[in-house]
Amino acid sequence: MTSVPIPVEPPELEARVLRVGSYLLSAAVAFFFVAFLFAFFYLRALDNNGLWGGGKRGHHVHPASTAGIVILVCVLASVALARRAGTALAAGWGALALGLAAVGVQCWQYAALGFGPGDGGYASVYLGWTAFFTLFALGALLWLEAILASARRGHAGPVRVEAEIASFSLVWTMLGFVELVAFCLLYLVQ
Amino acid sequence: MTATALPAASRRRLGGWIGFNLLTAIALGIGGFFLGAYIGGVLAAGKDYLVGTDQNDIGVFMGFLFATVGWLAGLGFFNYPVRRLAGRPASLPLEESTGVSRFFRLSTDHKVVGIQYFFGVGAFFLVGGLNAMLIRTELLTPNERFVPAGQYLSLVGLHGTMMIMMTSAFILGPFGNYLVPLMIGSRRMAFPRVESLTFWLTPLAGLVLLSAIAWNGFPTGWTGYAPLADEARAGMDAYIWSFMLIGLSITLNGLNLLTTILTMRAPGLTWGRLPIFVWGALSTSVLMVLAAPVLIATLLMELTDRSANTSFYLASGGGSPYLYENLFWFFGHPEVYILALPGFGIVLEILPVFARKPLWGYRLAVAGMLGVTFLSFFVWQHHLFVSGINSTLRPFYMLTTELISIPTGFIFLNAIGTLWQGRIRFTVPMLFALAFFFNFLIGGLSGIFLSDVPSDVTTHGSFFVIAHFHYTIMGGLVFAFFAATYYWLPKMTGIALNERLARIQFWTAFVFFNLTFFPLFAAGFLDMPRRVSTYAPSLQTLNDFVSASAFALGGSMLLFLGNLIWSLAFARVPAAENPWRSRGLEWQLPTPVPVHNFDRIPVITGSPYDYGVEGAAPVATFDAAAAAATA
Repeated sequence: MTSVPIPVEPPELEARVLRVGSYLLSAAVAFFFVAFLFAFFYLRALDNNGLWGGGKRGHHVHPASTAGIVILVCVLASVALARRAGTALAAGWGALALGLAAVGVQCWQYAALGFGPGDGGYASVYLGWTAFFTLFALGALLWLEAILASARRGHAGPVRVEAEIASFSLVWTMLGFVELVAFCLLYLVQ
Repeated sequence: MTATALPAASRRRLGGWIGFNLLTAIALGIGGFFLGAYIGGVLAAGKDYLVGTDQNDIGVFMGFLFATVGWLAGLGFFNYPVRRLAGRPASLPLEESTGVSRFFRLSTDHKVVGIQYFFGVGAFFLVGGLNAMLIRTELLTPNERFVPAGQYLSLVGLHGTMMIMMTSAFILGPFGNYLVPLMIGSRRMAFPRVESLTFWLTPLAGLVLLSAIAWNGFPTGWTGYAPLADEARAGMDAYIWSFMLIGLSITLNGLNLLTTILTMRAPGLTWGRLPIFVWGALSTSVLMVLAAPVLIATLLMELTDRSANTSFYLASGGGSPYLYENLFWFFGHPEVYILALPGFGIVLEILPVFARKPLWGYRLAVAGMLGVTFLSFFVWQHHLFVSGINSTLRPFYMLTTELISIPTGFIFLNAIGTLWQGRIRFTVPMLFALAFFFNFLIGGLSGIFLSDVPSDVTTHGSFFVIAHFHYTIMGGLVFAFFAATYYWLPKMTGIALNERLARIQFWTAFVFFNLTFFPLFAAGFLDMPRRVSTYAPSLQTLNDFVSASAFALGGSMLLFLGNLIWSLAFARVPAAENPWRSRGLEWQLPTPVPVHNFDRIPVITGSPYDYGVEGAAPVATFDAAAAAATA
């Protein structure tokens, strides 16, 4: 087995690749949640066997809506901080903490819901949408942690860190938008 | 990801059988499955909705999840992210190896990944083909004889799913990954690790799908319709997981190809000079990035219905099976064009070379591909014409489906214009390209019957549909695949394929393909239903003829396999650098292509299709100063 050295590339190419890649990743993430958006409207309009709300009166009052507001605020604040993290790394750590807080509150909320996945169409959409959103958020936060850890230890230069933070922010902003739509539909419209 | 600032010392090489390679992946994958199944068993204990059932879908899904993690860990896919999470220097290589072992592990060389795809996907394609032979064996007699009805249904499902899954990666996997960087003058793909991941998810998906056999298969066919999918046994879990893996692979492959084309083109490679195959890859990638995530979400809903007691698709719990049909076909119809568009790119790439004329209507071809891409998102409900959709929706989807034949027709105009008064050389790639147009025309014309509501109502669910989609997918995509293989494989491997065997394979494939599938239109009109192993005795002669032709078609595929093995392993005749006298940038490189493609990034100075044009500029120069002087 022989080997051949990898040629050196201009740093701006990496930034360009990351930026375009993150735009496309955001589009893919959006279309993933479009499936849940469609499920929400489709099942709600159909109200099959009158079971959209699990056949119970009063299901429209979400039992843990305060937690929903906290999650939304945490995610949106995290998005706002992440967008500044390219120039101030402390903002990145703040974004990470707020994102993790949102995930934590979501996990706590599941324990206090008062309904389960089998309680009608709304319950299915609510739990499916929020659970996969939480998984996506966790994945994104791992990405942010990796960027911040590399920057803290000096393994990545400021240009590269800035490019990576900008890419992360794009995807994180898209997830913030998904959370906003989810809040409007799952808590306000129901 | 470049490795310019990172040390090579951290790269782990344990040598021999130990290390991050296929063998470790298999070991960890199998171990992971049993560990996951055990944990799933513990988690499932006491769940009300599982009590009284004799299967545990939580255990099966956890097994697949852990098997996937083990498989990827064994190949070394977690080394890079784990080191970065820990804030340590990433274990990126500073050099690419050239030994045979690189084909059995994570490789960041796009050419290695292309060849991995070629053989990896090809192996599963053969398995799908064997299933087809078993199906035709059963259909030799009108009564249940060779396999029981339930197993026949599983066989059909396995064949369909394997073929759709693998053909999704059939052209862009090997040829997209191998050729796009070469054609645009790049040294690599935008995300080399992601590229490798897209390949290694594919064999895993194939193996998971095959594991359905251990659970007696699945009864839904390749579409996995609810509510049957909710009621099916654990083989359905294998279907869901494997299709999800393919969905992930398709999404990431599209993202990678699109990023590469958008950001890494060589200087001078304007949109008007982009090779038409790259346009095909670009338009397909758009569909892959946008449609495949919907498939993943759709299957995740099915997964939670089966394991977590949700009711997305269960009418008895407030869900609806129509939700599945809508979501599935929102992916499923663009998927048809994920299969077809790369084929368009290949045949339009090949025609000018062997007609020795410029590609006629380059912009028309691009418009056709982009038009198909756009319209393919607005046609999905034609699959639901007979499923009880609101009748007022039918005309809209009938119209959009018929509209899509217009941009598809552009591709035929391009072909006719290019061939007109050309000096045609009937080489093997050219023969396959021409056969593509013949087959795809029949596939396309028969598609009009299915887009039209009244005729769809009478033909839906019959063998007419089978004939139609085999003409488009096998007659189109697979013939395009063979055209590409005979055209580019000498460049990819440095070895020439046997010409005589190739010609015999073409004629047997073309003749027996048509003898197999054309009579199925008649079988459909005579009401022979899909997915059922019994049929009216009066149709036996027709079916015996089709089965005999299908076996001969299978023999033609074996001939290709024989040619491949003979040429690559035994004869080993070195291929010429540019045997077709092509102007394509990839043909200006030495054979085999060097590890990093270009010593110097080329400057594109002309169109790749200026055949027979007097005073045409060379397609590229590798000397930047000379290019500047010319400009």
